[in-house]
Amino acid sequence: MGEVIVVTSGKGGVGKTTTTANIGTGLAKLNKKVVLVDTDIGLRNLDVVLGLENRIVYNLVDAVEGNCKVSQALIKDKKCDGLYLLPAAQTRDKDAVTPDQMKVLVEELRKDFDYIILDCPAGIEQGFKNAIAAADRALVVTTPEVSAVRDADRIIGLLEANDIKNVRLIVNRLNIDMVKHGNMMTAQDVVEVLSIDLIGVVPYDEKIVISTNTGTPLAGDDSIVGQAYMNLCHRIMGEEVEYLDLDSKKGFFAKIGELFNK
Amino acid sequence: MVLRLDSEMYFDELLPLITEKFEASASFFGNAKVVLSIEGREVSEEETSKILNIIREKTRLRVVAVITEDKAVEKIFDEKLHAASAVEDKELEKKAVKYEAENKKLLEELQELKVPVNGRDAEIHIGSIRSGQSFETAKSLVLLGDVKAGAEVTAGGSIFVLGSLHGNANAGAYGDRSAFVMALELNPLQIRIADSLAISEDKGPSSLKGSGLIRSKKKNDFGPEAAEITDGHILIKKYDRSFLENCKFLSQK
Repeated sequence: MGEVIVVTSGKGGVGKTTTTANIGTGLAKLNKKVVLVDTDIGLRNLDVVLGLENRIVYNLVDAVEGNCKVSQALIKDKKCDGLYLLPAAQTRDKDAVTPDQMKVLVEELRKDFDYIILDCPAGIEQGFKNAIAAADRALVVTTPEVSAVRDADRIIGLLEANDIKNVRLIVNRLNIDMVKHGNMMTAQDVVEVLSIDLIGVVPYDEKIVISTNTGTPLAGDDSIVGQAYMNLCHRIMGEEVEYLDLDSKKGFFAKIGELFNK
Repeated sequence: MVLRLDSEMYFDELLPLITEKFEASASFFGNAKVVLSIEGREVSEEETSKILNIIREKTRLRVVAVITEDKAVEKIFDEKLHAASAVEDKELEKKAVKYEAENKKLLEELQELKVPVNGRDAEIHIGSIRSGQSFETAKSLVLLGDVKAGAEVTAGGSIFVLGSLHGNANAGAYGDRSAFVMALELNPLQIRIADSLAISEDKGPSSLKGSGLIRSKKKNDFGPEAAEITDGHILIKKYDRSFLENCKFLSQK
């Protein structure tokens, strides 16, 4: 039976869709069968970030309205075996589905997938309510910025009020240089403000912008970002993985020095 | 509701049977509104009138319209019923207006009441209050958790946050100026005590370093503090034995 995870944030633009695409890719590379569901009806992006927008024939709303079978709306990923996308509709809006319809749809997907990951839209209105309706657990994405953290707190409150108790934090776009100059919070600072457990830290990296523009997720590749996403996937599966030292500018000697000072 | 009458019997023989029928089922029907349809025979205006009287006497049904085989009779009764219900509606409306006025008066009295709060009477809340949430009590409040920025707590008495206060706190909500707000980490956006309001320092370009947001660069750990009105202004003091000894709120009996 599949596990249903909602990726949400409250604030827009903090990295929910990018995170969803990379988690899906990472879990599929770990031989899991994963379906990514884009619930941002009217402003769909998950298909773009996965590079699958030219393959959309049917979408979530078609499946929910019975115009097609759910399996007909699923799109197999170009590169990863075991990764599927259920795209949102672009010509409708978030009132096109109800929470109950989402529950029915997700129950059907549970039979065939290890992980069902719902990419939640920004906000706290109908789109959010639809996305969390069938979720077993939640991943809250935030950047280490005051406004994003405020919205994340609101979202966590709403998740708790909707009986979703397994809520974990992903701190996205952490800029080590800004942290060093005292201009940005650390992941630990965010954890303290929000009072929930951390599950992933993803550093700011230009490679991510390139990957979303070209539709090629980088979870599992050699870069620090790629490794950060893979570690996040392992933790989602319940394994304990140490957090990466994101300070990439440290020279070889500085790191040796640390070894002696420990 | 369809009332099917035998076509052969005399109407006077039917009447007691109709009466019996309605008496027996009166409690089942309650006070439902119904459209009465009389079928099986033609009934005159007078006969329909007698049936309606039975229904009025024996049940609490409200007949809003009558349909008979005879269209002319139907029209007459429609008019009569409308007149009856119009009178009934007017009575109900008068009652509603009267109750509304009474309610309003009660509400105003409640708002003016300065609820005296015993400093020793407190409500305990376990858990943090997150952004967008609020918690209210008429007594004092002991909160085992945090009040996050964007959250609000209100108490008739004093507020004790056994955690961090980053949001808004309103103590002495019914006018008690001796009430105070205490927190293990007092870092609120706004504090209100009775009718006084205090707001936090404005943020500036270097505020990230000095604020509670970056742990490593926090200015000082002040420990538990309390905000209370002194000489007309809300001031923040260290929450220690000296504060408790001099506190007006807690010395109230």
